[in-house]
Amino acid sequence: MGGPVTADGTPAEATPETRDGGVAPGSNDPDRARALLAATNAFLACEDLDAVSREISVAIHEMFGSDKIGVTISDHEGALRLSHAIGFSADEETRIRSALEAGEGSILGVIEGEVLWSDDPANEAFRSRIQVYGARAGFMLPIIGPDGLVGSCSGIYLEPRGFDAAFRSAAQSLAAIASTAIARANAVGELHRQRRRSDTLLELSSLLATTRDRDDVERIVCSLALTASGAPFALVGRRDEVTGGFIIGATDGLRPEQVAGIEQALQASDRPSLRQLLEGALVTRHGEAAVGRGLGIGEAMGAPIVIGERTEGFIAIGAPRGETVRPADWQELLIAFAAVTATALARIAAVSALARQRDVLASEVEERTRSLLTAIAELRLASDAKTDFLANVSHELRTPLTSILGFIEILATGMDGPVNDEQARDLETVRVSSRHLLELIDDLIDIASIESGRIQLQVGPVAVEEVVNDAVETIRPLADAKGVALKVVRAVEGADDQPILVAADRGRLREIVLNLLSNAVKFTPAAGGVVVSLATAPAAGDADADAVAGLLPPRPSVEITVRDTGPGIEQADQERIFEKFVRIASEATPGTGLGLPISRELARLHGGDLTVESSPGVGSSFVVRIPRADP
Amino acid sequence: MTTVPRILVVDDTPETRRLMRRVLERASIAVIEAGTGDEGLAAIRRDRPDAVVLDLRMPGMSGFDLARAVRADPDPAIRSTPLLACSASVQAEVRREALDAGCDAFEGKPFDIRTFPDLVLGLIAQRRPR
Repeated sequence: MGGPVTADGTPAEATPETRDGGVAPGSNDPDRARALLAATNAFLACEDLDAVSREISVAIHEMFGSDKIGVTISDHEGALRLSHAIGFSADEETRIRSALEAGEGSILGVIEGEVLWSDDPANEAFRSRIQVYGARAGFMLPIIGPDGLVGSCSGIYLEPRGFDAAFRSAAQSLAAIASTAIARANAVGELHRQRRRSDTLLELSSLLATTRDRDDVERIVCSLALTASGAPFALVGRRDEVTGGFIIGATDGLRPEQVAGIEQALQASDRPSLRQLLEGALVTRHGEAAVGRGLGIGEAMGAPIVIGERTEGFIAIGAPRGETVRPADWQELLIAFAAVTATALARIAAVSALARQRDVLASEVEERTRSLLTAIAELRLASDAKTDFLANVSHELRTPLTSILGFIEILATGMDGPVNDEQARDLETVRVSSRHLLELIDDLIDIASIESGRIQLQVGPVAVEEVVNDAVETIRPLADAKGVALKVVRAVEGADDQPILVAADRGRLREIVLNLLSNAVKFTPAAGGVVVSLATAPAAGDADADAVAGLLPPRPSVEITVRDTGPGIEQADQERIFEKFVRIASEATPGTGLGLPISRELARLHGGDLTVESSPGVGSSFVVRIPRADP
Repeated sequence: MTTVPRILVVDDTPETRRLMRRVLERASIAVIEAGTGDEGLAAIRRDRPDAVVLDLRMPGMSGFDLARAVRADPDPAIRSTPLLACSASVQAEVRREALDAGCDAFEGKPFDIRTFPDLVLGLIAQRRPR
């Protein structure tokens, strides 16, 4: 007798009568059948192995009336451990535990799946063993799961007795149902663990997704690994860039001296377990072997954190020496944690690489900006120096010119005595030349100020007709003296009585118009004419000027046209006249060669322009365009 | 004001001082000369001219400093002396700085000798307490 009882894996509600390998408790013992049914129902409520063990004990008591009852469950290494007992003294329980640790189950054959009955002649060893607990009879049945032994259940009696077929059959039925209950409890436990694990992994992923700092990542991983595994301690190591070994990133549940000891062990990176981790392998071993003796560390397991092909760190969990742990559960958890951590660290590395790149770019931009600013400052200094130099030159030239012109005037007015006609003409020549020199100086200063950007317009609404009329009246004596007709034409649409306002610096605008008028009169022969016309222009204007003005919307403007009947300007020369010191006209006409360049620059500073249209032999038209003042 | 107005000309260029003296004396105005700002300030305190024509750019005490010193003088009679800045630096900012320093008017060089005496007499007529 005594073949192994196999569980069929059917749910516990299956009736005992249908169970394989066993005979129903028998109609001669309906109490046992009822008790077995009650046990089966009770197993359904069991969520863990402790509860299952307890219910098995209760069922043995109810069904078989044993005096002392013991239930064992296999641990992860396959060794039987006492999980519930009834009727044994504390000393006896201790004795059972150490006997199991010593492999008694193996000696007795239960581990091999043998059923032990004290009334079987072959079970002499069992009979003598139970006498230790004061028993004269007893049984011990292996509980066999789909993959082998999962536990055992025993009952012993203080009085001698035998076990009939019905008893044996009922006991084996109980063992079969207990097997199913244990499998179910294991499955329920695994389900809970899986759920906890996936919840933890989700939590870990979402926490790490927003974590920017490696220290924080390691701290979070460490703390969650501890919670999820239920392990007494957790440790996260990181690759030390300098030594290539590991250093501690974060720990939880370890005493300071343990941390220090582990740190030392990590530094001595010759340990095989560390080498294995560096090579990307999962390591399970006894803590003393892994990190060193004297730290009180028992079982430990480490998983490498691998990014790309390189181990960047590891996660380890473990227990103090002597505590029961379940590394089989940890393995999957650690691998998942290591993968999530690797993703987070890779992301952080990528982000910080981006940040570094951005910093490099930013500092490059800053550097370029600085050198640009320096260049601008140097240019400005040079420009300022040029302006200062020209201002000095102007001052130094004007000072002697003051006495030259002053004393010429004194002589010419006869203050120092009468002047004859010849002397008067000589003095006039000196005076005109000196005046020309003075104009030249003024124009030079003007052009230098414009070019260095130091000129500042005092822009306000200016009635353009006033400025034009004033300039015309200033020039009129010159025109009259030369016999040149000078008139103003207003060609403005609408409101004649309204002054046309332009946005201009009155003095500078007058300077432009005066310059154009004086040129026109200068180049127009006697009996010729100069016409100044005013016209409002639509928004569209000179493309170049608009480009210069940038992105400002085109503004309506006013055009002042000065038309003469002079010799005109060849097409090829029409732009050259705006260049500095370029003089096209005959030598007979005096001028500095700076008037037109200055006038054009001034017009452009206003956001307008100065252009020319000319037909040689017919005359020239200079057009100043100045933006209108905002209404 | 005495019957003949007395004008102090402060200018570091002797030719300019001579020109001004000729032009002003021709208009029956008495002229005192000073070649530096320091001399000018001393002359103002000593001779109490009816008005001062002052150059701006001079070695040592500039015309700007001289104007400020006059305007800060404890003596109200000195403080209210009419000041005409006359400079060969004719940029707008120089003109503005001269007026800011306390000058009553600015005339650029070269100046018109026909209108110059009236300019000075006008300032004397418009003298106001300071």
